[in-house]
Amino acid sequence: MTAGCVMLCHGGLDRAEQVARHICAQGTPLALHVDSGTPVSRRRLAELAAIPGLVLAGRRRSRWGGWELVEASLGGALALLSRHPQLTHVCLISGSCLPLRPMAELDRFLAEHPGRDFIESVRIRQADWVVSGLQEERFRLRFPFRFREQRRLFDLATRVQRMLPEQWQRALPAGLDPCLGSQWWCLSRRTLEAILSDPGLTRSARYFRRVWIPDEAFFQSMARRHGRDVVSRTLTFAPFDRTGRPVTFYDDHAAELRGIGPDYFFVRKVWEGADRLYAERLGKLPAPVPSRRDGARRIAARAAVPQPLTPAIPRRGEPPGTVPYLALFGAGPLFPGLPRILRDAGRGPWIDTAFGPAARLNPAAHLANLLRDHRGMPVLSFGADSPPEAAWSVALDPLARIIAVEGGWVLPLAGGAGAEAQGEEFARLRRAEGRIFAALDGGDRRAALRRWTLEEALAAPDEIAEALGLPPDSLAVPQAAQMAEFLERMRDDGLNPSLSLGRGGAGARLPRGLAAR
Amino acid sequence: MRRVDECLYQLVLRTRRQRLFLRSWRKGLELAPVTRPARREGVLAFACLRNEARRLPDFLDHYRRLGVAQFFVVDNGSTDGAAELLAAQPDVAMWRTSGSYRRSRYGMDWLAALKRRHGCGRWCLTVDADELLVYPDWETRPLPALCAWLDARGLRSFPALLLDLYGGPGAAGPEGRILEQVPWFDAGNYRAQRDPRYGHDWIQGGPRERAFFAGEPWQAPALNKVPLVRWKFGQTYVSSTHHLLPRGLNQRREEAPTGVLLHTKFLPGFAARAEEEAARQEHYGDCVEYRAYLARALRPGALHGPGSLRFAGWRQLEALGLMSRGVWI
Repeated sequence: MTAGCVMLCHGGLDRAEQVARHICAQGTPLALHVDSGTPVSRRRLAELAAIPGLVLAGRRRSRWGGWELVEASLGGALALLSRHPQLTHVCLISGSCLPLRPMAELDRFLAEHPGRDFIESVRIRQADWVVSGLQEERFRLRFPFRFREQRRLFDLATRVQRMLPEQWQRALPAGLDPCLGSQWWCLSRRTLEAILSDPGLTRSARYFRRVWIPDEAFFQSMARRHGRDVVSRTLTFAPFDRTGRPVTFYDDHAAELRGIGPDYFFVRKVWEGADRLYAERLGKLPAPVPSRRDGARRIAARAAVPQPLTPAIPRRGEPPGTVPYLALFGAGPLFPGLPRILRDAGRGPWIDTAFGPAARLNPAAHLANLLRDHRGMPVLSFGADSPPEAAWSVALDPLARIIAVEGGWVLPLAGGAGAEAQGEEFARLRRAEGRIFAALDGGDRRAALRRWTLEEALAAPDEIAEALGLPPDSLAVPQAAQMAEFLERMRDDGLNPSLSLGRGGAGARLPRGLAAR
Repeated sequence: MRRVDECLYQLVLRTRRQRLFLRSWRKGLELAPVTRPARREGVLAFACLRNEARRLPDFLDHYRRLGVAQFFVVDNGSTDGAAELLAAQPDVAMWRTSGSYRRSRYGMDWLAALKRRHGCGRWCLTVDADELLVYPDWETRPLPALCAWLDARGLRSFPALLLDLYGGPGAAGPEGRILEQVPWFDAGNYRAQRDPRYGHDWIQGGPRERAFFAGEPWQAPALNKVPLVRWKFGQTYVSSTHHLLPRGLNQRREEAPTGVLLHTKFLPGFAARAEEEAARQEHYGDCVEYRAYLARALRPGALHGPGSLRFAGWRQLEALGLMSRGVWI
């Protein structure tokens, strides 16, 4: 018997009692502190005190982040050390911890490291430990309000103090090297006794009482001062997620917990309803077979990976792409054989953005739904009457490469008949295209944009082929003469084509948005 | 000026909330108790139903497995034995009413009255009989685990997507389990946008929009719900369980998990039900939804299409991205 445990317990007394009985039954003494805010009957306390090897520490109201937690830990450690002179180490655990290995293994491990302190202790001047929250200011500011219950006042008081001159802040006690770290430690008898017999303990206590979350700072700083052999890691596996909160373990973590390496002896924190974990760890089930040794790494990886927020429900205003893709404006109608050519060249898939009524309600979401689950480099083809919001959302997407041919929609129109209807359609599409190009030209564009006028596209289709990743000469030049004739006819009908193929178009004015180019 | 506008709007919302809250007192008088609640701690489930005897066994099974401690059910004049079935359950407290479903805001006023009486300070789950809640790891992390986690973060509500299920090839007949009768769903035709009025994500899409509202998609039913709320005196649902007042409860936080409500509305035999409901005129928006169902005669399996996927458990839904575990790893 070399190790003893101090257990701090708030709620979930049943589970804490199970763990305490399990630890005591293996001959490890345990000091149990039950928060005085937890309702417990006198009989229950007497039952707990009757567990052989267990000593009840004096009860205090130990709120989260309160100094009383440190007092409770000190009181428990003192009780253990004075009662059991053979103890060499004391571990601090909580009521929601579970032992990962038999206590005999812990004893053996600690016997191999006599006088060594296992406590995560990071010098705040040299490193960042805090994920979100105060770091150095914990030691310099005053915290008259409680963080959890009086959050607004807490924030206000902090803000006000930051504005005040620095000499009004608290001075660090001489010789204190402020350190932070996980609350769950295992300290050697020598270090604990040195802390307890430190003549400056009252002064340090008075200082730390007003530090924010002193249970993450007091022992960590004191161990640096008094410990001779500090190893800055804990024996309790207590990972944090990326918001800086402790991870809770459930039955579905059983496999990963089996794979926690031999350096850890406890795990925190376990949900009190995790029946299977408790049964497995407290020996009610056959002893678990250790699985792969990378459980800690697997959990750390899960904690670090940012989980995407429901990507299957795309939101308006968010860029639609998840993989790089091509967006074609005007090139689809201009080269009617393009889908087949791309497919034959092994490019694609080709996706036609047919904007139905539902799609027009939220174009960005429609595009995201079209783009999902496609391998390769999807090619989105837009018509001239696609909603401008769609063009805008593509332009904002850094994954998009835009290939735009101004006036590409003229070709299908040029083949048709019926001058009157064509004129109206021409004007409508021209206006729609103007809005789309205005969206593409917006100042906040993040997509790569290449654009050609109709004339340029007809003169050098190979440039477009190259942009599409196709070999030269793969895009057939469409009927340029027919289109030029059509545009002339439109102009003569009184419309302002503002597109030209070299012959007409003198004096034609560009609509707004296009003129800026 | 904007500040003034915001303050005025807050006043409007407060008035709306108080009006709905007072309304629930009045509507609560229509409820006649049949069986009393046995327990008041743990997670409580609230439901209002009519003629759901077919779904009830699976409904109760599912939510008992999820760790619901006590059901509070309003029976709105069932004639198919649902009331007797409910009265025989030890963990179901039942009220009976013959009042108008429509004029009780589709049951919300009755349930608000029950939540005010029994749910304050507890986590309250408000679901229909055809909604089954799932979320990542729900089998090993029942509702008490979820609620404890949300509590520890100071989160007070849990949002979910309403996922319409429907029949298709390989679906079981009326004698099978509910989820086997309607095993298909749409994986990727949803869209969301922020609703500035209440601060929630307004989600539409899915098979109902595809089949019944293709021409007027803005009328398609909303699919965003907030079924699980830590109830406080004075809170109120505004429209079904889609959103609540105060508005903060509708906000979705990036680190928080979300769930899916499996919607088993389209069981075999739904056409007959739709006809009856359209005739009763007790549903939302002059029964526009039910008239749409009738207008496009609903055959079994008619909703099945090329984009349909067969439901295979919560892992599938999480992998597809229809729900997320946030940082609840």
